[in-house]
Amino acid sequence: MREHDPLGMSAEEMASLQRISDAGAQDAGKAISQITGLDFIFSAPGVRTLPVDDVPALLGGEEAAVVAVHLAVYGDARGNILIALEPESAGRLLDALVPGRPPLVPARLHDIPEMERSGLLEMGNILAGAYLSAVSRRLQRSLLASVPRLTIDMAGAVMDTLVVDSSGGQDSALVIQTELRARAGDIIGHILFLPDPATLPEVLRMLGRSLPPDPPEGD
Amino acid sequence: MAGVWPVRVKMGEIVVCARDEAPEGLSIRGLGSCIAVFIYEQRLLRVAGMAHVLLPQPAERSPLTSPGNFAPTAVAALIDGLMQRGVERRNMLAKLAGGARMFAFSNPERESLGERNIRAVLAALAAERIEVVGMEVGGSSGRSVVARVATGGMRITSLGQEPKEL
Repeated sequence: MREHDPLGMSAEEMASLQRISDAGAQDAGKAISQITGLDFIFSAPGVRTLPVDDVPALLGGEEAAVVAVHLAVYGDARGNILIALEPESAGRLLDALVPGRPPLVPARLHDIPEMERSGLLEMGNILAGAYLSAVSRRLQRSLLASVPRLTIDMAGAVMDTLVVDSSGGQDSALVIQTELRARAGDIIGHILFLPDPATLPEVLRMLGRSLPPDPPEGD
Repeated sequence: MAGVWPVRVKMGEIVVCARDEAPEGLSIRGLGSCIAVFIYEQRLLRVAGMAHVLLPQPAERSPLTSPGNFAPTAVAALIDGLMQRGVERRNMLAKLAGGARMFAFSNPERESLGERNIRAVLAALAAERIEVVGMEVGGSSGRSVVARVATGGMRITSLGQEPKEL
């Protein structure tokens, strides 16, 4: 289902991005499994360019509540990373992080006590850090994350600033999405990486140089 | 497109409707830093329109994109659309919602995208001499809005808060 790409990326470039993102997802998966003691499965990342308006649907629709940690990406390429969980999943993740605490399904930011808040921010830091360092290694370039920021709100509202920021006012945005899921099935979340289109050509150049050419695809 | 649901205004879109074309009004769900600009026709209340603005202005490097993405071009196109449907400029009144800072701890020293959007939309409306009669902007919560052509009313909801009426 490879349609004409509005940002002008070739099928090969999409596939290369997919492979480096895969490395990022695997490392992020290892990190979160080690910290929580839970077994996490990460999906193969989906690399897509979407109309900006369709991006919130990736997180369950515009009005779906999400607990989200955002980090800006700096360095040799820019962009945004968002780690988003449904409130129920965020509560269960906190149970794993802080055993023995009273159960919590956070509905608003001030519902989350300070320690749990730090736990979620730290989780975001670790996931994004593991993801970015794996991608950096593949690209042989430096990608750094900002301090994480936490919010709970409608998916549409959480995404619109990031999508607009990442798309620079273009009508489409490139989104690399990985789903994380506890093997028990009760924690589901997403990592979204939105590279800034202004630095996309540079990323693609790095990809071309740091990776061997793709093997021919079966389809 | 008449229906039981409000007519959805997507990011960067400008929608102008007569009453019977949007009996349930015009809506934007999950607004963060973006702005809903609603302009309606005072007293007559026949036609109204909404823009879903993304950015204060185009970046220099921006390629061709929809005029609805940016405050000045979106406001101008919305007014044009209303005039084409017979609304006189002197009867136009505006209401706004959105422009939040979604991550409360983002650098408070710097003006957020939401704040810049608010300023740019207000400037564009002032330049077009359209009076702003209500707004629910800024803060750090996302919003959903539904605006009615037939009343000029705008209902704003946020997660875990009482709805507000403008």
